[in-house]
Amino acid sequence: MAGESIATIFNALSQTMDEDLTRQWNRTTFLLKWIAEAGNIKPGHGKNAAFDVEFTNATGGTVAEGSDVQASEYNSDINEPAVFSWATYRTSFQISEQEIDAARGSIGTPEKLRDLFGSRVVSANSILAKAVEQDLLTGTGVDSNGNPTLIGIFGGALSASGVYGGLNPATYSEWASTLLANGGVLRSLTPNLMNQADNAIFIAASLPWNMILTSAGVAAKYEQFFTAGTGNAGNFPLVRINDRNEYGLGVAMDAIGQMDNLQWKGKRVQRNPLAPTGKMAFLNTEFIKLQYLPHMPTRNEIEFFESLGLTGSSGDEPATRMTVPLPVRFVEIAKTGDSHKISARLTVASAIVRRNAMAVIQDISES
Amino acid sequence: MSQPTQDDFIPSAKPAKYDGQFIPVDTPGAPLYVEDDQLYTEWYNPTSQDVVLEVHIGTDPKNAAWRKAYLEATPARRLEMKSGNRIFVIKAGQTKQISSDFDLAIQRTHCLHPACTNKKDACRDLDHPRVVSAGLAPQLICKRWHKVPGLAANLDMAKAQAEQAMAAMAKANVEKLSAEMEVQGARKLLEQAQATAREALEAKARAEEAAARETKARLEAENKLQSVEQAARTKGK
Repeated sequence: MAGESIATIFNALSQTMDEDLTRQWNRTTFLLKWIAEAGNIKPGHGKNAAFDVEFTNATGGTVAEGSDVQASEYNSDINEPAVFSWATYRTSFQISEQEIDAARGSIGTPEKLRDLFGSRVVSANSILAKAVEQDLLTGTGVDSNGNPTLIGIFGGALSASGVYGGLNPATYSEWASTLLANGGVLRSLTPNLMNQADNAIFIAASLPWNMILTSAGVAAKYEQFFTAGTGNAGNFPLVRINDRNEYGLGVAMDAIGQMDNLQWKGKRVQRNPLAPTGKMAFLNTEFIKLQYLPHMPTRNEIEFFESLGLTGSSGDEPATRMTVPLPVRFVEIAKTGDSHKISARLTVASAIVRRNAMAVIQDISES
Repeated sequence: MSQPTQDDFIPSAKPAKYDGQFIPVDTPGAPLYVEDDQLYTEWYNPTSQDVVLEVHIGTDPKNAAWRKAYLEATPARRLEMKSGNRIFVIKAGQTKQISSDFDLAIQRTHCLHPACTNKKDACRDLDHPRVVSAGLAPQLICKRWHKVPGLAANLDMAKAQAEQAMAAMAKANVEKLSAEMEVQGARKLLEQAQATAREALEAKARAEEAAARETKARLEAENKLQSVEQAARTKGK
């Protein structure tokens, strides 16, 4: 009689899984994180998000000694409201009771999957986080169905024409960002171009930008200012020509974002997987506002939503988890059968309230 | 195609200021004084490449009329309405009229006039010299100004490329000089080695000569001694 092998009992053994559930998606929210760090995510009120802004109008100058004040000398700066629409983001899921019961009782399954409801809530939360992040970057203010979206920094919020917040730069030139494009003709990123953006912001606003946001490709081009020609193939940093922290490369600063410590003039150069190619934005997060429309929750809902927050991440990697204080409202829709229908919703508005303190470089070659 | 110079530019027939014709606006019956009354601005593309302008015009989905127009628009029109960008293409060597509302987006200029009291980026005096400091297409020539604006040094790609080429050439020169110096050093070392070898050979020859002389002298002395001894033996007999 032959001896047994595992094949003999293979089909009779139960299938057990490792205790970890490895999520493959990437819903990181780098920009949201920096806006949250600037303390600019706040509850809004009313029919829209509105901000008062002021433009230059008042003048002053020399006069004749002892002269009367003329009527034309009385003038003031102009105050206008910048008004931004609410945009509603929603994701929904439906899970059957049988599915929940089966998952809960499935021994040898990752705990995160056994808690099916919790798992789907985590996913829904991060889906909304990514949608908001995406539109904060590239949203044009309208989706393909004509519904309002956020207007992203590359989608029109940083521009020098067109109406934004109800105000037109053609009327108020201070309501314009600096754009450094090249008529659609790609060119290399150079320190000169970056200096020009910095100069323009200084001349227009004299307020320091506090981060550069760009695509991974452009970040790599910036990195090559410091590494090109120093490695075996000109692309691997064997020698650092500038070890100062204000410029260039340092050690990887932290795990959040898996970033090299890229800096320019002492400010972070932040790459973002959702940023469009060939563009680089000089941002001042002090002037990027995000408001959400709070609902009137029950005490239990408040505690639940506060503990939940809005979290972007790359799967479950704790190093990339970025929770920002945007409360998502989860609602169970009326039950009409033996499944649970859950909808997660967030109503939010974004605004750049000082456009001349920021700049965008476009038409950068990534090749 | 070379960049036009200031001399190539034909100024508008209309002067920058209406000298001598200005009537204060509060005079009854006076025409409205508008310094910048152009609805369209002419843009000339002096380069050999087409220039594409993505001018932001904005979106307004909360406006019922806009939304209705959007939902009824043709696919191409809807694309423009959705993106919020209007695209203009100015072919190489061509001039195009574009609404003056977009002037600031297409080019922002920086006034260089030393006596200008306007904010540098807001000066619209047609006669003031200026450089293009930002915008969607710094390579275009705006025919609004009476003097062709220069290009801010940081935006001058041709200059940047020339500087890059000069830097590369300087680097190559340094490397060439360094290589030449190394060759010279090696040649000097070779010459030194050859001289040392020659000196050693000469010293060897001198030593051999001296040794030969010494041998000869010793032989002569021995011969002399032998002959003296022989003479002594002969006398003894």
